[in-house]
Amino acid sequence: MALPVLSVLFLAGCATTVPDLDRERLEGDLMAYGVTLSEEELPKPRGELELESAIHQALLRNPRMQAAYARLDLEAADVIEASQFANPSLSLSVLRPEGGGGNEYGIGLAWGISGWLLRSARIDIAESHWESTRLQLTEGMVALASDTERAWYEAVAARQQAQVQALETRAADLGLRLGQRFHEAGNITDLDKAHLRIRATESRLQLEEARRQERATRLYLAHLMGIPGEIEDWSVPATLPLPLADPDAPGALVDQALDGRLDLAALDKALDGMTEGVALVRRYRWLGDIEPGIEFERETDGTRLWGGGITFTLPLFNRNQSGVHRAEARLREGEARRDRLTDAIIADVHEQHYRLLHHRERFRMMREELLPAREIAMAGIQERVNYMFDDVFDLLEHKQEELRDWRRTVAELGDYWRARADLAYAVAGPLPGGPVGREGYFDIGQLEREPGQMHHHHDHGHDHEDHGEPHDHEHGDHTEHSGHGGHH
Amino acid sequence: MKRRNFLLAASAVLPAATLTRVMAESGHVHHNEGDRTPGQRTDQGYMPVHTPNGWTLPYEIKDGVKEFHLVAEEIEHEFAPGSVAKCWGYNGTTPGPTIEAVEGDRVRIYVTNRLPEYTSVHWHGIHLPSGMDGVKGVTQPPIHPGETFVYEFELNQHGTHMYHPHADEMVQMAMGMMGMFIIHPKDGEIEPVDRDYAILLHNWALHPGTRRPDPSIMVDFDLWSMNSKVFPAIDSLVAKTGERVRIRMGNLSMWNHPMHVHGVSFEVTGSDGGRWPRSQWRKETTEIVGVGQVRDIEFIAPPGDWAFHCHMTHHTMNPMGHGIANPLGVDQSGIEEEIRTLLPEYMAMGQHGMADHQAHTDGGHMRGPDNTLAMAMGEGPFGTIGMGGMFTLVKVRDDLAPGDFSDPGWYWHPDGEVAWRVSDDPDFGNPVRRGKLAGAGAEDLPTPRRDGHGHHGNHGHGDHHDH
Repeated sequence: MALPVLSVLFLAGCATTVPDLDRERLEGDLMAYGVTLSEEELPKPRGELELESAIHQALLRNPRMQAAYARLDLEAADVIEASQFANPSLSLSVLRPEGGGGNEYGIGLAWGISGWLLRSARIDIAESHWESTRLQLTEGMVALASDTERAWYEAVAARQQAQVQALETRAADLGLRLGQRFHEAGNITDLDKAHLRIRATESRLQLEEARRQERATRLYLAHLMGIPGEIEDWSVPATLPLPLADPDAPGALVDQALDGRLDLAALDKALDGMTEGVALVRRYRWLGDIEPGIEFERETDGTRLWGGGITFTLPLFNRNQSGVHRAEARLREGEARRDRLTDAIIADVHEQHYRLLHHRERFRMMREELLPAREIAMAGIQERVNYMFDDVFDLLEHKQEELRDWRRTVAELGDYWRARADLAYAVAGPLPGGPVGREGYFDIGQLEREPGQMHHHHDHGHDHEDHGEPHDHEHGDHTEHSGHGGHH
Repeated sequence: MKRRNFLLAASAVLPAATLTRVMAESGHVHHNEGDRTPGQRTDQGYMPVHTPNGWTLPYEIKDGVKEFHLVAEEIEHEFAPGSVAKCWGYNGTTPGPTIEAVEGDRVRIYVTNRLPEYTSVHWHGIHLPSGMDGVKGVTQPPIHPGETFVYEFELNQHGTHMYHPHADEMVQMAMGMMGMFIIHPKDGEIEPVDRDYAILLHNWALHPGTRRPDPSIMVDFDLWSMNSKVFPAIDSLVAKTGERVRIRMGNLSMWNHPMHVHGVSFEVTGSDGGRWPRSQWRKETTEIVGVGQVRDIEFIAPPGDWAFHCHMTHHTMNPMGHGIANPLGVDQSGIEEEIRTLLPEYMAMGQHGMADHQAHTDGGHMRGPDNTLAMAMGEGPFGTIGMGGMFTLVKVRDDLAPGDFSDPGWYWHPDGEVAWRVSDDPDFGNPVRRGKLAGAGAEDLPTPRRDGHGHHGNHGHGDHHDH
């Protein structure tokens, strides 16, 4: 009879500790994705915000992470619960005989041991679910890092596009302002001026939209970093990096994804728990409540009685068929979910891989073919304007078109980087090509010059004919013309 | 000391008239390109025609027939330095060589076709058997590539004539296939000429940056040529003072050209109808040569350098835009500098006119498209000439020898015969003036800017006067 008591005392000391979210392990899992964790204390961003800093901010502050940590704590509670035993029950009784005499006393101690029999399996199941949730937490961090990366590139692209749009709008505005001068001089019609105004206004509308877009991307990035609305103290770089080396073929990337995707690993862990659950429920389908106990009684005549007993349910009607069915159904549903996720991952890898190559190729064509052709065209138009075959409005219109193509090229490069972020997330790891910026940056500095005078050889407001004195006829000796000096 | 510096030093001490003599002696001598002609009458008694920038087709006499041989072929032609194109011509040139004969001659003209398509030759204005008229499909079959046809007829008229294809002529003439055919009168001339020039007027659509004329253009031509050259590459027409000069002008372009000679009232004396009777001669200073027409003008040469040009002002320009925004009177200051933040090469022009454009293009700091010419070119003893297209000079000197067709340089003006500056004060004198001044509420006359403050405020650009 001492065994149950000893067992209770022994088992009372077997409290399971709360599962620990091992930081080193977490960092290891994240490192596989190229994501690093920041220090626990991180000041809010100020100045120019690099991509890694943005990700650190998001992982530290974003409420999504707090919710994920809470979900993990919930699963930890389940592990604790699975490890705990049912408490024993103590029964006390006093019976008074009719007609007088001594009372009859009874003391009973009973303890249901079904939980004890199932405890190990239940702990395994709960730990599988906790591990699954831990992996989901890690995957959530990766997803958040990926979202932040995409948002950061969107913000940089939007900023760079807005810069080019401002130049484009400047060209259109200059056309309008010059048109007003031409109009004042009586050389163009109201209709001509209206056309210039339409062009300039359309361009200003585009600039407004570009600025709205720039602000919206910054707001979204701030939201992801857990500092919603706070966009005044930090900025993103003004220039997008150039593309890196192409990724591997889709087949290899699919293998990499199926090996490394944490959401798939999390689902596998959950399926482990479900499989264990099915086995458990099948193994103990006959087992109802089992309650051994010990009793002590003192009869009215003082006789003392010691003894034990056991109570258990007879599985005559309910052999836990519903539990078995439910566990099996959950397992099948989990396996189907895994298949769906696997298919989705494979499809996503193929799609993102093609999207990346598509944007890279379009950017290459724009950068290596379209923009150089535009440059040649601009030089040609400038030459035509020099010789008065075309006019300044043609020149500005072509400049606007050239800048529009620069803006399109920036947008294409932004699409490339978003696609690269999506592909990196899809394949569960960083893509080859080295660090961002290794190939340089898509500089647009040459699109704008400091305002300054050209080297005019002549004053245009002046008739350069001689006033009665001859010229030298040695063509080609223009050394005296430089620096706006005299001609002699 | 460089000549330039010598001249500048001289300008400080010599009066203007003396300087012009210096310039005349030292000015650049343009060696005319046209083949030399003898400058004396032939055995048949005529003074040979001189084709500026061109040449005369030699002939052989066989069985009493003058035999010529034309070859139609693709050629490379230079309109002026910096503008070269693949054209079509005869015997290596456009225009083809001048054919010269005498009324009564029998001519046999072989025509070999080395073009990529068939051709024919029409003898414009010449009386001949119908089957010799050269109209493909009407009077003869086409001369296919590689084939040689022969035309043979007797010349029973005199005058200034032309030859050109009458097969795909829209293309072939646009490409430069044409030439002059001069028939001298067999009985001599009532007023013999000392210098006889033949000039074929034409237009070309050689778009800037291209290298082949565009036959599709009907109006908006780029180049206006005399003998397929444009100023400043057109030979000067030279003469000795007092010589009788004839200029035969044929027009195979798509515009009429009012041709003007400075310094003389010439007489219009003939056409492809021959030399007119004197009673039909008329005095003019400008004569329209219509499309497909020929006009002969004659004058006694006075000494000097005299412009000879079409009076359609756009025809005395080299390639230029038409219908572009007019910058005249437009102050671009301030905006120009802003434009240069996007377009560093941009330079505002034309606020006060286009007088300065040539200075920019000549200076080379305003590049133009490849294989084209600035609209205004040429440099004279008094600065830029600012012309192009159908413009050249008749240069008359006292001491030219017959047969000397070389460019004699710039004219040496006698003292007192050059316009000179008497004041640089715009309020000088008390001229009678009427009308309304431009500018709202303007009280004063527009005053030329003479202080170097240009159209976009380029202060201090040196002293542009008193060179």
